Amino acid sequence: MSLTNTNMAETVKKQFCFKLKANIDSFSSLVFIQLLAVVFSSFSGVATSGMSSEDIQINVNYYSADLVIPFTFIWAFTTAITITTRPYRNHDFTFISNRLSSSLSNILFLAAATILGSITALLAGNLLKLMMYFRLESLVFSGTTSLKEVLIGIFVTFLYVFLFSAVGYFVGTLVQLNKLFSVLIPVLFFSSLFFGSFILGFSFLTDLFQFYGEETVLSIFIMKTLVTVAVFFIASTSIWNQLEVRR
Amino acid sequence: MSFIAIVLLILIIIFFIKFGKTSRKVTHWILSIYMAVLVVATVLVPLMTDNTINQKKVDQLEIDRLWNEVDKKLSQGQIDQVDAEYVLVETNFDVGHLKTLKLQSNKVNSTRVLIERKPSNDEKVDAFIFRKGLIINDYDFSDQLKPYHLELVDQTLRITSSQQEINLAISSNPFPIRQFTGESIMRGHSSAHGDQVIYLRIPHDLEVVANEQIDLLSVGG
Repeated sequence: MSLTNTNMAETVKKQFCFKLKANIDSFSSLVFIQLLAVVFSSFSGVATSGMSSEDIQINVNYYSADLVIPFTFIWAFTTAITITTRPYRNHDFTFISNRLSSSLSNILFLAAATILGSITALLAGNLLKLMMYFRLESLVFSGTTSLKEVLIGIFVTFLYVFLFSAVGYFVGTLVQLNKLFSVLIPVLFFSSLFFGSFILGFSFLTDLFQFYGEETVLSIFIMKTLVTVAVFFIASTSIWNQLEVRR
Repeated sequence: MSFIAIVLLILIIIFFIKFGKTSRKVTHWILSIYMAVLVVATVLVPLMTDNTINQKKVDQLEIDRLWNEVDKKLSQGQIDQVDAEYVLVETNFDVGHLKTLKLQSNKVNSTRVLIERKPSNDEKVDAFIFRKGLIINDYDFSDQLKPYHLELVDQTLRITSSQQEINLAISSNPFPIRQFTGESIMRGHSSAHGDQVIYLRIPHDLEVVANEQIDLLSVGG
């Protein structure tokens, strides 16, 4: 029993290291998408306000990494889908493995990618500030962020990005199960987005956003995201195991 | 800066389109350079940003209360008891043996001018400009405020207010932090537009005539 566990752990470790190297290209798309978000944010910030009187006209532009983070969500979502596709799955045949070790190494790869994505997304906020400094040729006013807030920021961003990875992985898995899902899921998503409140009487996506985005108690937020992430990864892994039986 | 960023971005897009899947070595370089840029930006940002915004946070009600006190002191001619932080300008004009001083303002809205007569005729007009404060979304940016321009031309003291445009860039924590700190990106909603009051100490016998844009009030003894 002990020997089996060691083999499984070794296999997962080897597959994970291999996937980090094999999927390195996904990180260049991370750089690209974050730079795109920084450029978009630099035009007029993420929010603006203005006021004027006879003597004075005040324009305030607010800058933050708010746009970079959702762009990172999109990257995480698409990266997770990508690793479920056949060319990427074929990497697993390099090793003596099973579906479980493959899934575990995929989850580990997504976790590692998410850590990198989360940290760079938060640091990209500083790049934005620097760009503002040179563009506006004036001081950028900024609040001080305590170490505790920085750590919360990194961890919460990680959880958000990992959540999108888990959803992406699940969606990718469903599509591999049946190609019909590649049509069904976007149709359901956009229907819910545009017509959800008309058909159901409530907007599912708004409720979903409120469930995570408006949670102000950190421990409950952690619980909500971790449980959701676990549910999606367990469901995906179960489907992969089912796929193995079918083949 | 945006232009350079866009050019760089276009170059990156062209690169991606032309070369399709990047080689592993190139990806390593892209990632390494990007991370180095982020680290350099993180190091440089504290040197290039004003991190005092949290010290600028004010309570609008408190600002109003303090200003009412200042206004009351000024109206009673107790200028010496007003805190120096409210003084934007302190200057004086030599009026010689002038009998009548005309005050003229280019503002559409009325300009408040308080006049205190000195006990003697020292042939000088001491001018002070006090400001209420420039509060933007609960933060005090009074240090950005430009005072009215005072100029003595012949017998006329001209008060000129040219429209001042203030562009502020305020950076906030990203939403994963704000979600748990309760901080809002707009930070606050109250604002004050930097009202200014002119206080003139004039020679005892000098007559003052003002145009209709000036709300003139005699103070003190």
